[in-house]
Amino acid sequence: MRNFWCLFFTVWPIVAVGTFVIAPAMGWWFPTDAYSTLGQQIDDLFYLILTIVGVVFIGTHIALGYTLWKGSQDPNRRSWFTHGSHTLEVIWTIVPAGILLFIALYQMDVWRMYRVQSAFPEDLLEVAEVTARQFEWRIRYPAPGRPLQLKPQKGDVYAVNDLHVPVNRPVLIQLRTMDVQHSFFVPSLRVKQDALPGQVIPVWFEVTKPGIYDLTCAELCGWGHYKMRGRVVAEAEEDFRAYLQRLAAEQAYDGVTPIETALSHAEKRQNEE
Amino acid sequence: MAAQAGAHAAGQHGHGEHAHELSFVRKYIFSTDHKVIGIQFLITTLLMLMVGGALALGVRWQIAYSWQTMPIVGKWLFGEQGGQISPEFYTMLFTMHATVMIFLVIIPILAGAFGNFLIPLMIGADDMAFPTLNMLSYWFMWPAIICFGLSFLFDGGPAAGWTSYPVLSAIAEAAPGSGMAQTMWLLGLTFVGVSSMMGSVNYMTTIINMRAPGMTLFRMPLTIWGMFITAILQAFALPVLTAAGFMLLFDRLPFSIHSCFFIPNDLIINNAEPTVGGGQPLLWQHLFWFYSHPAVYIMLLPAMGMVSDMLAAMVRKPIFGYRPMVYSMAAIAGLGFIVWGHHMFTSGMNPALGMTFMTSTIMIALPSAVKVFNWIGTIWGGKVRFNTVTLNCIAFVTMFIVGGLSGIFMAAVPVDIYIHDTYFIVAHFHYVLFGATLFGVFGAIHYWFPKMFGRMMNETLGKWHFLLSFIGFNGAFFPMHLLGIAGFPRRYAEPWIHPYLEHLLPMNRFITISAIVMGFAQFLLLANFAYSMFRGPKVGRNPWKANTLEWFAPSPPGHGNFDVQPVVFRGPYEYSSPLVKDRDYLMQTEYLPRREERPTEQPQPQPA
Amino acid sequence: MVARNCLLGLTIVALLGCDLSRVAPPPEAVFAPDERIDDLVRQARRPVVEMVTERFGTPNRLVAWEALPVDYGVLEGRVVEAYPETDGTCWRLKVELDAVPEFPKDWPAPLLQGVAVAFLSFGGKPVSAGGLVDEGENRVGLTVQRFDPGTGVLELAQRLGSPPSAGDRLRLVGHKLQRGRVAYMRHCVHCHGVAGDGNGPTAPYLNPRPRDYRRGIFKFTSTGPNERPTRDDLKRTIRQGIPGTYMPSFFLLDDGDVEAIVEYVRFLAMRGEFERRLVDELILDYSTEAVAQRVDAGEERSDILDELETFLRDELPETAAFEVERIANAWRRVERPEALVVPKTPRTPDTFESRARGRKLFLSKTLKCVDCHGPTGRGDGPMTEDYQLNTATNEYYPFPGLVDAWGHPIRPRNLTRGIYRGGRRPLDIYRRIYVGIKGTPMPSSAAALNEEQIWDLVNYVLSIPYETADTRRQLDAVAAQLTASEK
Repeated sequence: MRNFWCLFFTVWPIVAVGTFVIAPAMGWWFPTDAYSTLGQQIDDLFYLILTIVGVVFIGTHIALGYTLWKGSQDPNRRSWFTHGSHTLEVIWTIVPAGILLFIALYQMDVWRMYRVQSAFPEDLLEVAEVTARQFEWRIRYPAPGRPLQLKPQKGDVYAVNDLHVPVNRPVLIQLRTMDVQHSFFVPSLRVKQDALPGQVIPVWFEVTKPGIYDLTCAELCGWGHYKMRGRVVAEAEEDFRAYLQRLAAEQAYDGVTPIETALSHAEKRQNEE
Repeated sequence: MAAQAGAHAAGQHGHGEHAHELSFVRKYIFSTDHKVIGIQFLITTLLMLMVGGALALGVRWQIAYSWQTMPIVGKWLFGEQGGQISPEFYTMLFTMHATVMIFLVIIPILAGAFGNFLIPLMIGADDMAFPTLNMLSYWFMWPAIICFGLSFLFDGGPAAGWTSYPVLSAIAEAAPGSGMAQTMWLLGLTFVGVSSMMGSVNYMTTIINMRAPGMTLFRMPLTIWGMFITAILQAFALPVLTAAGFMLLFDRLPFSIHSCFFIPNDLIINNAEPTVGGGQPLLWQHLFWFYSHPAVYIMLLPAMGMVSDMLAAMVRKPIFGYRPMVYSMAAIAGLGFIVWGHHMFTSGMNPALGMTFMTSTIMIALPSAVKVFNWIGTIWGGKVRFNTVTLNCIAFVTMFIVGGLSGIFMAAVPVDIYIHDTYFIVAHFHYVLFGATLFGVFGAIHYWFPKMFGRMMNETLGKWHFLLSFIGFNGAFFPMHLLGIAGFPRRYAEPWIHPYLEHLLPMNRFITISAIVMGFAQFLLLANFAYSMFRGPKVGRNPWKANTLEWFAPSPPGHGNFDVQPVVFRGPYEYSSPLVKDRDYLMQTEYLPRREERPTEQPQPQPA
Repeated sequence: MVARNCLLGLTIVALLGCDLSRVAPPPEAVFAPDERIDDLVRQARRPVVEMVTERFGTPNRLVAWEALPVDYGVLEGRVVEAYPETDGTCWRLKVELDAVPEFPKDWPAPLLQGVAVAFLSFGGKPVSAGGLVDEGENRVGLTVQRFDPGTGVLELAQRLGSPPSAGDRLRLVGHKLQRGRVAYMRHCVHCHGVAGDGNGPTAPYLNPRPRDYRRGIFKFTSTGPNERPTRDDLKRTIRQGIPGTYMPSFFLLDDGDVEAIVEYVRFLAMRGEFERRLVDELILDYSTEAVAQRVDAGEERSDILDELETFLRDELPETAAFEVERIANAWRRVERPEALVVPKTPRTPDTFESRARGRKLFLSKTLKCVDCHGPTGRGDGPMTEDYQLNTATNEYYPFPGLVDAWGHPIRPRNLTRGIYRGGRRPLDIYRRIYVGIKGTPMPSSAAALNEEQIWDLVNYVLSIPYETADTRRQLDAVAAQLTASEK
């Protein structure tokens, strides 16, 4: 029986490590690679920590398994009489402290770039204001060619659950909520930011690959929390502008003037400008 | 011999005081005896554990078998809808699961049950410093249970999560459960707080003032250190939560003072008039986590202490690095007060705070690591017997390693941006709170049961319970790490409407089945507990051949605990001491003559 | 020993737990009957419920009634081979469908279960009766048990007396409605209820209350006053949500699902209307109260019940046929292009003059916009503080403010928040003014205004400045100062 238990406490960490090893192949891993600049750094950090943690996990469990096996072999043995070792205590305080401090300091920079406004990239494009509400994402773009204002302006373009951004350039959204707390979460871009009632929070990211990415809510916002399904569409800058133009034209639709006509008028106006 | 005489005198005194018989009600129900109160706490919390577990299974069912009729209870729930629960029912399920498990199971089972039972026994006191206060601390749990129970009845139950973030919890219209149910929930929270506060004041006073002669602070067992530090944490952190709770109540009650601590301006909720107020929802998060992060250690430190005691007794070896263990507990407690912000990395608080909290949070891993190394050091070179207690203690250590290591991911802010509010968090805190604490508690139940009832628990049942719980637990929670990495958000009633999660359905089914196995395994514990209470083999004073003072008292101890006043001569962990040859334990109360008077003097063997 | 027994029991319970959904059949969802059905005398209740159930089925066994303009989802195909049993009966066929629709991944297995089967020809002879479910001896009420699109094997839930021959044409009806039901039960039922009565478990907490489809009244439509919505209207509402309410946007829901939900909502609406008309037919003479009054007035109770029985036997089927025709026509009518409300002239350019004209109209006594929306458009007109008369009972409502057709309190839109529930395109605002908002006190202004005037009004409404609670307080303070200084 004692061998069974030794085996038991050895096998489970092996299973645990094994699960992590096969996980990426089984699809139990990041939904996609990180398709944003910050996301790639976050992934690098994740793998760094995973390596350190994995080594510690395996190490401690080997130690544990060994001590268990060794201690359970002879039922008549008498335990060592020792109250500890000062040297050992010092070693296993200093070494982890060094590693932990390294982890802490190593990532300050990513955090700074992500949240500290003075460290934001300079050529940020303010794309839209995203207003979370129970249970959808309302999006307000500035009128084509205009900058985004904090208050709604005439000519602003509205959408719901569908955020378009240009790819390969840092973009900024102003995140706010109309009611309770929500959280803007795009797993593939590794972006998450709570929308705090009463505040407008700037969030920036740079998408590196055109595509459609899921947008979900990550902070409990009521019974329909799970229903807040949206998407972020990253596309080339021309496509993004064309999309905005078209949305603006559709929004000005009066039932008579065809949208195509309105579009061509708008294009002409812009060319003149 | 003087000591023995003194002990005899104290014993006589004790007998004289408790000569009269107490009525049944005073003896077993409104008892002021710390042991009865401890056992009352234990049984109440074990029953609550089943309630919380049932709620958890409801949550798991909905995730893995969304909208399908729940087994057993499904017939009575939402029959007209074909047994399909409503989403607010789901939010209620996970809110109440967390509430019951944290406030009615883990905190009271550690501080209330074991704290009460063990503190006077282990420090050699005949009862708590304030026995009536102690009784009240148990009976104040009942208004809490009633309030939480009532909150189920109003509008389907509170649904803002156990964290109750405003504005969701502050405005009645914000969610179905945010009306009267939320108010009842807050009242329940207040009562729990009162109960805990009474306990912690009592524990601190008792531990400081009522230790037996010779019991210096550094001769106290680690259990007592854990309880002591917990009591201090509780006493300092709890007022903040209570104050926050009242602030939220003031915000909520329309007929009171129209405060708006947490309600900002101009929110349009449920088509009502825009709110008027200058409040700040972040304030709640700060206040809440200022309590609730230390609360995590309140839910852990006593278990750490108990496991240290049990482990030393089971491997017949002094605890490795007693003082580092105490210091690291104190360090955890101290650091525990300055890390609450790591729950709020994505909340939009000042980013400079994020850096500070990241550093302090990562550093709190250090004392935890030291403890783990010391536990392994304790087992190292010891004599390992795999009984139920040992198994649960080892499980505690390994689960705590997992929980601690996964914590590092979250402490790292940039990674937390991604991991936050996903199932990775769920995995992490279940590994700490269930994996570590509850396995510690399971061990403690088996270990101290003979002292509580004078009978042993059944080993076979205990081992099966451990095996099934351990496998079920890991089956349920280990895959959640992977879910979290896959970006699976928490608290989703039906995650499957999101296509990027669809492929995780089989894994969720596996988790649910594991959870069911784990849930049903707890019936084994209850059965073992109930059976052994009346039918278990009777034991003497010291069945485990352990050193600490409670084993010096009769099993079960009578009113007043000790028939002979204990006097302490040494630390609690003198197992396998070379001072005694014929046995491998040396109780704290045993008097050994001076070295030169000793009959046999042997050179001390040293570990290789 | 104890341990072993416990373990055994535990394993069994755990296994049961894993598969209990199949061990104990779940309770079936039910269409809650019209609230007023309880007012009817007992003898009148049952026929109504039976008739509605016969025509529309239950949530788990829907009936495709051909009299209704619902796209139930029709698949046609031919029998390739029949597999008769030894006793001559037949329940397995190999069929070839003309077109197999794309089913969603999570389509409840088995595929097409419960879908109605009708043979267009049988044994090589064409089946005479027109209609989806033929009355022929072998072929009444046939449904699919299972269909495997890979092999083409179709299992019937009932047995045929004789096997069909190869080449017989058959028709499967109802897959779209079923898909609609599944999607509806997943995404919509919490609020709108199983029967579409706007009374799901979450509904009591929502303001405004979720739509009750059973009157066929939908607020935001592109059709004329008193008309039903078009499919596109419903689709747009599902896709865009209704800002300012708890109707969220299902922007990313699968197209097929949305279309199926639209069909199912129309089905529920027609079912509700039909049920409602039947109750209307009976409630005047045969409600418990009416019968009691008539008995008081000297009639014999048994006479009344006999009269009821005659009515139910002789007249109700006819009435039902008439009513269903009316309902079907109302829904059919709106799908014609000319049913859409579309302005003839383009929007007047959004100039200062146009807005000023619009503002004048907005403030005018004849249009009464300000009565509800208030002079500043904040939705705080005097009507919001008046007690309104309930036209049905001729009594005042116990609460002040406006009331919608369902008896729920309702607030006029605050036009300063930039939230337009029916959409923010000029066309949408035009329609809100032209058509009104159905089921609410917002009237149609089609008769009162010409097209230019409506466009002026649209320009004005869209120009009302955005206000938050803060700016509003500041503005109010400024206004108060101005009035004070004027005095």
